[in-house]
Amino acid sequence: MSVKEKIYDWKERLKDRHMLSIIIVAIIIIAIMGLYIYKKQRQYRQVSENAYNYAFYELVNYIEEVEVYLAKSLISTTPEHGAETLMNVWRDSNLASTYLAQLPINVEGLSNAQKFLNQVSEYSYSLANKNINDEKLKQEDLENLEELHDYSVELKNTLNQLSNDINEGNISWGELDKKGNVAFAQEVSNLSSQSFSNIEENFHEYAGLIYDGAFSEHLTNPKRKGLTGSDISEEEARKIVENFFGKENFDEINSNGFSENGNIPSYNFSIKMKNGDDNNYASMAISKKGGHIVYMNYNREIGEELINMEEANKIGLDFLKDKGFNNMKETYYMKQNGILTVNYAYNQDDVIIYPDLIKLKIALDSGEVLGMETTGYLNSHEKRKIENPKITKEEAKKNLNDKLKISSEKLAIIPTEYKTEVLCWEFKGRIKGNDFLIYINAENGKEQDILVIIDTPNGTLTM
Amino acid sequence: MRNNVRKVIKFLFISVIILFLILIIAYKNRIYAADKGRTPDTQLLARAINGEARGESYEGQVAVGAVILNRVKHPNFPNTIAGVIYESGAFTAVSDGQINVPISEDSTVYKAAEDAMNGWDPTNGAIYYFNPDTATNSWIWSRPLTVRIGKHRFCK
Repeated sequence: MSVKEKIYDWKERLKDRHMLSIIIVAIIIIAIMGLYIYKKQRQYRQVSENAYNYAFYELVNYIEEVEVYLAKSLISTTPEHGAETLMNVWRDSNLASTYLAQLPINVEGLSNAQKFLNQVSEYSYSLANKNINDEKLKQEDLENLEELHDYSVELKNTLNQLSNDINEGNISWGELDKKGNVAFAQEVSNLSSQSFSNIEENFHEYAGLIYDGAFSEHLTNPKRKGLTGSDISEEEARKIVENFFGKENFDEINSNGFSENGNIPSYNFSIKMKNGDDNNYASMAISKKGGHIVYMNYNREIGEELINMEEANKIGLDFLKDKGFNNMKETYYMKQNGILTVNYAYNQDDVIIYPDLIKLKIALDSGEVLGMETTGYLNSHEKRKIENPKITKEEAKKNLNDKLKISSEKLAIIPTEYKTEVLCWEFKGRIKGNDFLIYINAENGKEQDILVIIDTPNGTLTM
Repeated sequence: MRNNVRKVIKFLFISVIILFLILIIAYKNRIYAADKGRTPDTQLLARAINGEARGESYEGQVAVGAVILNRVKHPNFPNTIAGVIYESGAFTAVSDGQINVPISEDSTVYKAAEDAMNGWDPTNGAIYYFNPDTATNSWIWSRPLTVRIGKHRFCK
């Protein structure tokens, strides 16, 4: 039988059972569905393409603004105008960084450009504040601004080149998108033929700025004042873990290795608890230097709540005393899923030292301490020389809003954005049904910070 | 004869339409675990953890949350939780939609997200992590390792 005959025969047999029409109908349905899906897919593609273009042109626009305002800030002479210009730099670099993150390019491909924008934003903000306080910018500040301006010009030129490429159709976002999809751990080299890598190339030299900001290089590795003592071995660390939990409470301790590159080099352990199911492991990190507990966390089902917050707080304080942390005071608490998380701050000569922070997680069913976190304390704790405040409490009060009903007043040391510390008068008070914490600088009487206390069913939040 | 054909065609059409309806209803009724008293940031963080590490141990889940929060504080990354999570190509769970998988009732990801938000960081300051079995990139191996938790290597 020839092929032709076969097909004919097949057709005849289908006809016999009226199958031919059924198959034709099915094919038509599939074709219509296919067409519909194709159109939808094109639509989605267009939507994302538009979103990418939008982000890109916004980015170009804001980088241009950053460049212009940085140029202006270099020649501005009055503090008022300087502050205004720098505030514009701050706003526009912030927006530029938002739009940069939306482009479909791998994370490490643009991380230096991102860092540049973050630092420009923060640095200009801190300089603007200087201007607002009527401080003149130092020669060093101006040099930094000039350097930042040079980089912004480069970034602007690269982006203009890219914009040309996009207009000529050399770059399609969809293509970049596919490559970016696989994982954050993708190599940029895929794109090396594309002009996008130019951004990163130009920024390879951007080493970062040295200034007093949260994003500055030298502060990402602060001196850890509370991390005292001599180095210990893993065996000694294991002993500390054993004593912490008590032999009767766990089955075995497994080492999770030593994290040499961590913020605080430490030995990690995972502890199989008794009375737990197979997945009930607690984890703990002990610092190599001094054998401090850096971190402890244990997750288990929480039963009925049997103890109240005051009792839990007492348990926490006793626990801290037992571990050698005296003079701690609770400052903030939050209740979630039957667990109370309490922040404790160090107290020296009746001054609350907020940077020396230890957090505990306390189960409200049995009062067991389920978690401990001491990095704040280890980073900043030391015996401080607390100067007598230059501003008396009464003088500080004069700077407060008249309507504030004060409920407590004391001295406190608070951390600043720039990881320094300031001595302040802390006033807790109420205005129009809102509770506030107001900090008046004890050195110069200026308002240092205002926090709003939000009472939620879960605890008090300060913001 | 003709009648039979019509019947079959009718049946086909109706079954296709019913199939579509079922799909639409199933799609619209996707159930998300109830969120009580959680801030949008915690919810988003929990969903990212769910997408990236729901098969990991509790510590591994807190660790993923901690990496996201470490990035928020790091100059090389956006400064908000949403910015970090939705940064293009940053997390596989975002690219492949795993982040939208509903959180199961008995999941610990909310607790893990809350612990991370409260400052617990088992990664000792890591800003990257990867699964050595599936990582395709050699660059990531050059990053200094801080700690291994479950399937993930955490690094700076």
